[in-house]
Amino acid sequence: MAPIRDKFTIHSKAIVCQDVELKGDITIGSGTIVHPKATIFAVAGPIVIGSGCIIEESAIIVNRRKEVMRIGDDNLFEIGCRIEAPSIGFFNTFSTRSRVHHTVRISSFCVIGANCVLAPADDDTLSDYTVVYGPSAERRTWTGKGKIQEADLRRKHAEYLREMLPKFNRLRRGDGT
Amino acid sequence: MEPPIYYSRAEFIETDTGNKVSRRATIAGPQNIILGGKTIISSGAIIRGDLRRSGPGHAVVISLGRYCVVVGDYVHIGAASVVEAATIGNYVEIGKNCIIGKFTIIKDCAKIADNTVIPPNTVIPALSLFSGSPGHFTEDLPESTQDIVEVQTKQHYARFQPLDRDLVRSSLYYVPYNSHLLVSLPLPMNLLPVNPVTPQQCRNLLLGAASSLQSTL
Repeated sequence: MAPIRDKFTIHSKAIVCQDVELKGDITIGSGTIVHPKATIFAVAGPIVIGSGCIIEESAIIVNRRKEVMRIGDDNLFEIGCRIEAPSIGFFNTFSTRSRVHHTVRISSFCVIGANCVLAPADDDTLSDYTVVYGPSAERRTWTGKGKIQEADLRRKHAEYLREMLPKFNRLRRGDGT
Repeated sequence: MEPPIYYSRAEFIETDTGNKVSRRATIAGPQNIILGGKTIISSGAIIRGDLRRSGPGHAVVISLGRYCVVVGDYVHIGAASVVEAATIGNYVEIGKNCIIGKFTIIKDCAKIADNTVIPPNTVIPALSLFSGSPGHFTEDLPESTQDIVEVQTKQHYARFQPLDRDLVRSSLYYVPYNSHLLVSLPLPMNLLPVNPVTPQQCRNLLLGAASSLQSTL
């Protein structure tokens, strides 16, 4: 296999800490926050992350496929989650230590609960507002109630982190700047 | 008393007040972290002081824990646990592999079993044992819990001893006292001298130990 060529495009308003492991072709959109000790690993195809995402420490995002892995806006990747989904929509939450395999595509407004493993053998798409929960990874649909409040809370949280993280961490810049 | 837990002197930094902090732990925002003394922070731990103000108390034993916002005295957080609690009282025991959700309040002398997932915003009352996924109340703990936990955490601190001998550097080989111990600890510092064996046996044991270490690392 050809060696992985590193190419990082980081928006000037994104907060990417120095202590982050990046490999491959990665694009990070404006206002996205990557905590220290997170790992983003574009093994085969590139990874494109939208704006306003929060990627917490020891979260792992991997693209094993050839095509582009697109991650939409305002997604939250909590501590220790491992995500390999080929496409992710908007406003999803991947809780602590959840795992999503490369066979699942994630739409928008989904929640993967803590410790849930999503690993179907065949290709699968999680429709909008799906909530995966509990030890056996059951699914149900969120009514969308309190969606605006949730979105506001997430934006506030991101705003707070954008203010706090640069005070204590050194930041990484893209190749272009 | 249980056998001592050995660590390499090179890996840990020891302060005057008896804090032992691994060089391989990640500590962000150290201005906001106060170690109460006699605290152990094991390797691989991530402690975030850059997110909120914090001030842990006295004799906190943390092994691979993280997110200690307000942690009381005599608290033990097990390996690979993720703690995002708002407050943690005194004499609290958190098992291994636990996930404690955001804004959780843990009162004094509570115990959380291994592999528990506590949902966000939970309040865990004093003297109660929580377990399961999602974590729920399982039983009341005896009133002597406070003394038991105090003795346990103090013992843990006492058992955590430096070992200067390092398998990798030393030319003098010792046979592992018990191979299970070797797998459970991260570095080859837990080798204890036992009865002599043949050089061939010694070699085989060491090769086995090395491969098991490689797989754990």
